[in-house]
Amino acid sequence: MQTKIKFPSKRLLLLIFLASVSVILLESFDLPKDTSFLFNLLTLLCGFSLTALFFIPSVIFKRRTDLDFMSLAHMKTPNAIVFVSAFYCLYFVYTAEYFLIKYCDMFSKKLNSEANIFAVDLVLLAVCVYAAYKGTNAIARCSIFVFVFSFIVLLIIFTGNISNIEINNTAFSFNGTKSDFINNTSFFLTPAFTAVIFAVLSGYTKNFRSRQIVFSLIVTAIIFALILFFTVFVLGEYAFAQDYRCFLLSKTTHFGDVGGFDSLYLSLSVLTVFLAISIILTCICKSTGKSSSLPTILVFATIIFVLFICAYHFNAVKELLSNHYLLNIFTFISAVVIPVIYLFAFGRRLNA
Amino acid sequence: MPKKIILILLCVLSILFSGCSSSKQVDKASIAETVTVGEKDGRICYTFYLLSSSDTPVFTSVFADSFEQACTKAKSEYIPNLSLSKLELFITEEKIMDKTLKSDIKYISEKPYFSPLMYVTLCDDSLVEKFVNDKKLPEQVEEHIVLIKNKNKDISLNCLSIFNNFFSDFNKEFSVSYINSDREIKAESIKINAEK
Repeated sequence: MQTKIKFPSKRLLLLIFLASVSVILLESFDLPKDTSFLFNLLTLLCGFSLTALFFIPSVIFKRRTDLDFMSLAHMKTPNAIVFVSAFYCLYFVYTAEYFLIKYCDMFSKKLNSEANIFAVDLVLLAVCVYAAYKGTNAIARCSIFVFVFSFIVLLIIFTGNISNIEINNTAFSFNGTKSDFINNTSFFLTPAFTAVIFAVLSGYTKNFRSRQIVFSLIVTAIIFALILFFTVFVLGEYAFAQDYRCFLLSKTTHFGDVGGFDSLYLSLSVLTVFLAISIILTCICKSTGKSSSLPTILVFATIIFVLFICAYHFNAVKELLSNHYLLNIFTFISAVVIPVIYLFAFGRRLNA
Repeated sequence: MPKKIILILLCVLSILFSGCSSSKQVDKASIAETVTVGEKDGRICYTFYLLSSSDTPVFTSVFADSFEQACTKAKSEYIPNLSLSKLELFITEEKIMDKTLKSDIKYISEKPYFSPLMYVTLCDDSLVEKFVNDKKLPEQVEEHIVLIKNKNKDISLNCLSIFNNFFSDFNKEFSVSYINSDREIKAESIKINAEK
């Protein structure tokens, strides 16, 4: 279904931005409680600076050849591509699993603990398979609507809490240990998986400018910081009583007597996770060398679903699949190590 | 044609599998709007006032040591479909405040279905008894709480604010509202110690 027509790069960056937002909405923010505001701010800046660095290899490919890394790998190394493809497919299966587990956890903890979580996962995957079959351009078009919706929802959540804000109760000190620094930076590095999506799909886009990535990352970092710190300013100690701070923030939103906008948060989280998983499925397709193939998508969606069932039956599997350290290591290999090897091997010929 | 079949299937699946099977019909659900905590025969009594169309209040009283225990007991023994997500008012008798208030606030703050903006107030002995006969009383109490909020900005009226005062390192003493029903209902402020 995917056509050869290129779509504006801004649209892909919008999609990537919304995929990052899904990380923020679905994370339960288990940052150590004794780390201070300034320390967390510093780790956030470190996390997002590293995320920006993860984009560099794929940006170089895009600027020099107007192709994405995956297309180039298929052209330059047809003999070794099976290993590269297999690694990227596994990486994307892992990432999709990471999001599905986070979403279903949130769904059962905050919305309906009695619902059949496998059925929820199956329905979500079915919709994502259909979207992935329609191709990146269709998902990117859908992201425009989701962006408008997310803008309105975040605006309502933040403005509806402004009257509660109390900065006096926050200590502006600098407390934190080395292990806290590593933990927090790794936590804020989670949105770096978008660099791999960019490395795989940027070939479909035109009119690319590097500043689009910088702008997208800055906005994501601001939203991350707002949800993280604004919640503490507004809710004080209450922010630590429950996980999913954005959910809590949406519950305390009020305009006069009208309060409680948690349904908006739940709608936004399902829309963003739908975009993230759909785009990951298209990335899997692209990694196998096809622009959009229903049998390939169905096979990988089945693998994802089976792994999901395993994760909920074996706790060790679930811990492994929802580990952000592991996700970041795989992201580093996929976004930096493998593309840099290709850059060193074929860099001069690319220039020529 | 295949597209339409897929779309119809997805619609049906989403309705069947998204948890509607365990949903509660409004007419069958028991939605608690107000909870009062008082003392009867030397035991702590939690009374759940339910949403209903009848002229008199519909309520269930449960003897328990804490709100957590009262909720579990109410759901298992008296009101199986009890829903607490619309709870607006939590009233505790002042004389038993030391025994229950702090632990009840902590329990409420840990559960996602309670609203952090729920009004929490103290009252005198006779108000809890008046709730049993007067259906409009919770509404009047809420009106008085709003009035006192407009007069006194430093007063802690909702669960969020009271929790922060109890569990933060900044305040050792803070004000909450107190409903006095001596002649007519009147909201006053009362200081309580966070260290209690």
